[in-house]
Amino acid sequence: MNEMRTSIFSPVSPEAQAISHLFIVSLGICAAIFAVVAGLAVYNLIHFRWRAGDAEPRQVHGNKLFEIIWTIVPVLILVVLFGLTARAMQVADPPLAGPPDLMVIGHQWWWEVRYPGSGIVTANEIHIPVGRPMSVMLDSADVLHEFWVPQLTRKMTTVPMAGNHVWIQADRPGTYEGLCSEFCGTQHAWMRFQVIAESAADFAAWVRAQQRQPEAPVGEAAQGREIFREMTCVNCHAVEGTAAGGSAGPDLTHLASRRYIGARIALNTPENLGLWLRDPQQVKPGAKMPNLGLTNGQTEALVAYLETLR
Amino acid sequence: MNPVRTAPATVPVENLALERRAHWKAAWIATIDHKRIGVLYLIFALFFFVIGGIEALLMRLQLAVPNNTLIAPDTYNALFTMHGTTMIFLVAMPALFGLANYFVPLMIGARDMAFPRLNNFSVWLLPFGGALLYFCVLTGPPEVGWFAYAPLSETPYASSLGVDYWALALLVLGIGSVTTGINLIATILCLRAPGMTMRRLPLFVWINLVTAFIVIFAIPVLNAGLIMLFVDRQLGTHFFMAHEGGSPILWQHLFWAFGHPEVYILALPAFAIVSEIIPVFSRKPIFGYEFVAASSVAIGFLSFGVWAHHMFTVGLGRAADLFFTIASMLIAIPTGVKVFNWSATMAGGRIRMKVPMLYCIAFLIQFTIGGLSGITHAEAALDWQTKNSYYLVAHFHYVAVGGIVFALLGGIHYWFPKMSGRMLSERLGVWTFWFMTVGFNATFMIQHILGFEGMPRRVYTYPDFPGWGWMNMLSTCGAFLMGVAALLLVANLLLSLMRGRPAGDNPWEAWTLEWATSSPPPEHNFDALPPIHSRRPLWDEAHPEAPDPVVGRDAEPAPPSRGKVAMWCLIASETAFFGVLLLVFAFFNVHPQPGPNSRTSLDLLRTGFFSVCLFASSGTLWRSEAAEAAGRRKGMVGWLAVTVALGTAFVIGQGSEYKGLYASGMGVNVNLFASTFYLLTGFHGFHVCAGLVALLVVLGMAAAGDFEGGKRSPLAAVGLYWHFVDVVWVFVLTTVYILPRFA
Repeated sequence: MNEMRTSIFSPVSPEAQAISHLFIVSLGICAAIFAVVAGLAVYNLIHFRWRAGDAEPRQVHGNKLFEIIWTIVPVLILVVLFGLTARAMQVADPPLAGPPDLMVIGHQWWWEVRYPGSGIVTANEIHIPVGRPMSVMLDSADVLHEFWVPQLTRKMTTVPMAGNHVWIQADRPGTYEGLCSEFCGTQHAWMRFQVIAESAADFAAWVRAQQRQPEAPVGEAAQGREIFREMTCVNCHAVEGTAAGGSAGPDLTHLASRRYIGARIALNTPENLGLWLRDPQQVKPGAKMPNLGLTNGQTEALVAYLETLR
Repeated sequence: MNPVRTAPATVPVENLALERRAHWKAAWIATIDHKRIGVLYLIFALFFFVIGGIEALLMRLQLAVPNNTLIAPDTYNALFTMHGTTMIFLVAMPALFGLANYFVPLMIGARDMAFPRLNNFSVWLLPFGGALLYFCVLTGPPEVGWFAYAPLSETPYASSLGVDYWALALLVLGIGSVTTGINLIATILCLRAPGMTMRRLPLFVWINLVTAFIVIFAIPVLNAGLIMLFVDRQLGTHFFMAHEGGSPILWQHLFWAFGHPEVYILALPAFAIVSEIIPVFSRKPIFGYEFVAASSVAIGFLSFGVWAHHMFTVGLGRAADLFFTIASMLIAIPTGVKVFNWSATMAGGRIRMKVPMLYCIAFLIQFTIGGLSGITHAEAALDWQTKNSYYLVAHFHYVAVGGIVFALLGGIHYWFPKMSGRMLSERLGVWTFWFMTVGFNATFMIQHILGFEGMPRRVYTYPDFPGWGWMNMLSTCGAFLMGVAALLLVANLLLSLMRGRPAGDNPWEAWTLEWATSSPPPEHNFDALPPIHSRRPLWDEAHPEAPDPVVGRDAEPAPPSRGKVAMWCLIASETAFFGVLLLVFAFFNVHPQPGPNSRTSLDLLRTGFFSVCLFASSGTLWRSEAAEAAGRRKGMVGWLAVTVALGTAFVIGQGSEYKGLYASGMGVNVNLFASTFYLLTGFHGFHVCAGLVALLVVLGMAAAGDFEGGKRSPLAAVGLYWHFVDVVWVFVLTTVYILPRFA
């Protein structure tokens, strides 16, 4: 695995790049101002220390020229910073044009991801083709969340029905960390997602795979599908091509193709999936999925079924 | 050469002597001595500081290592909610109010605050509010963050009573803050000693005056929001529920329209402390007095125009983002002016490195860091990345702890000798300072980097990303160093209180009036005041050969009556409150709501009739005032009785309107028209009732002949309030009943 980066100073999109540049310039200016203030303090402390027996110093009450200087100079600096900011805002947040490529809907505590063009529905994992700007429409099913991918794009709150949007783009293939940055309740900490940027060919392959219906399960997995239907899983989860059409929890049609479960709280392995099914509250306390009281056998069958959902 | 001057009295000296003879417990509970009240504020603040600090340490323990499971998620969420609320409302504000309460009257040569009994009321609202907030320990704590963003703070997502107690606590504390603000304004404007003109006021007093004005305008905005949240939760309205037609963004506007001025309610008094200490320990007057004072006024005004920089990521649009970027940047200018004036005060001085000065120097450096990172937050584009990250956490802790708390600690070390009569241990003080400074910077400097790395605030744990573990561990270690500093501070306070070296009147050779009396000062503050011709009366006294230049003229126009000043302040504060309610009504009713609305449900004719009663009552009250001025008691009582009758007619009219509406099925939660209608007219009606009670009290007293023999009645002040309530109704009538008909 490559060295993992999450910093806003390793931007991979024009939008994040613009902000990163502005930040470096601003921090430089701030450092210079800080050097002046701290330098003055240090100079004063060295040169004007009181020593026993010192008389009172000359009593100076002020100087209008100095006041004017340290009012005007900051004004000029701020004018420059404001100009740079306005320009960066243009680049970092272009207006939305046309219908969105992606709909991302925040839920307590996971992300629903929809591709209106291809009809794909997934969760906590966003696939995008490298180099192409994708417009993202944001919404929320409950409270405020905030969509943020530090290396790719600005953060934006998902206000219910407000129609907020961002652009998302990656100049290089890779996996980029995303997260909810507005406190949204118990499991705000584990409302993370990943953006996976792939070459056009890989992305197209992913789209095709997501559009395919999973094959009918056999053996233990078929048994698992029965349990899935009987144990009220279907009330909250959808699996395309079956009767399961719930929308309170993530769409599971291609669950097995995802890297993590529980909005990145654990790797998507059969063991972890089993742990989750046996007691979601143990893995992610407060998550909306209740403990269904499954037996070991039921759990194994369910895991076998879910593993077929590629 | 020293003409004996005494300060104006607000309480007869006998009352103060009474207090001295009372049992000590009763004397502290019922005290009307501003000094004891100031000390009470500081003790409560210290108590809650320990609680808030323990909450912080628990959070840092949980965050020490990645994927930690020490503290459950909901517990962690409750901890940061309580930590933020406690530190702001129960620590910083009370501590700063405490110092203002103790030292503003002393610095202006007054005997007490303008309203000593109101002052006692204000201080006891503090433990009451604190108890309400911490009552949630029994009912389930709020887990919503200190700004309680809706809809997370609404019943469907926060079903325990924690948020309700939180809202009630803030309401109670807010009322206490407004009364303190009004008291401070009336004190400073009306009770200055002869010669203490506005141009000679110590900067501590000037800046606290500005703060008090911010308090009376900002707190009502929060109160309005809290009431709406509480009504949402308890009566099932939907002010802040998007899916039901409400607006979660409205909550943010209301909260931050209070919340950003609040930052300056805390920061300005810190500036006030620093502006006293740096000159004394540099042995020079403050550099650019007028500029420090004027820049505080500028900050006061600007603080009301920047709130939406907390909302750069909620989608307000490019124009709003640009406006609030430039407005927020503007605040950097008056703030920078202060920093340079403090630096220039030190330059050319003889700097005495005592503990209060150490804190001020650290303040200067750390506050500058917090201010500069504040500028990066003002740049909307940068905020789009760093908002809600640990970079933000670092920023506001550099302002709130590195700035405000350090200034407070400086102030406590500076004034402790005056308050207790004993010096703090310098040795322990220096140790405390270094633990505090090293601990603080270790805790928060690294959090800037964590923010750059993408760590969000308010997470109970985090993945093991490269570097995150050790950075958080360092931060946790720093927090515990600060914990040690807090213990050392408490030890120093207790030890010095018992065994400290006697301080004498003026241990720091300072120049403002609080040092012209004994330590601690007597109940009546001063036996005699030195002559006041400049900003540093005690310098003039110590250096008759080279006194400060005389500032302005000694004579000033007679101060206004404190009753009138206070009433005008109350009216200003209430104007802000009703202004918010009117705006909220307009916001939700610009387009008529489906279901009942102004046009379908309100009867203008009937309301017009009882409105005329209310307006007429202003005229009759005016006649009553005129009769009183002319000395005709019967006329005064008669017209006052007519006023009360007309006001009662209005209340009955409104009551019957409510009854009719309710009978027709318009409950408060039917739609947002109903909610906003009852909210606005209901609060107006409540104010009319309060005014009626006040008028009845005056009427009763007047009828009984209480104002005979030249004793002034409070009719002028109460009347002012009544006229104000009538004026508010003009706006309510127009907005609710008349304009929607033409829309």
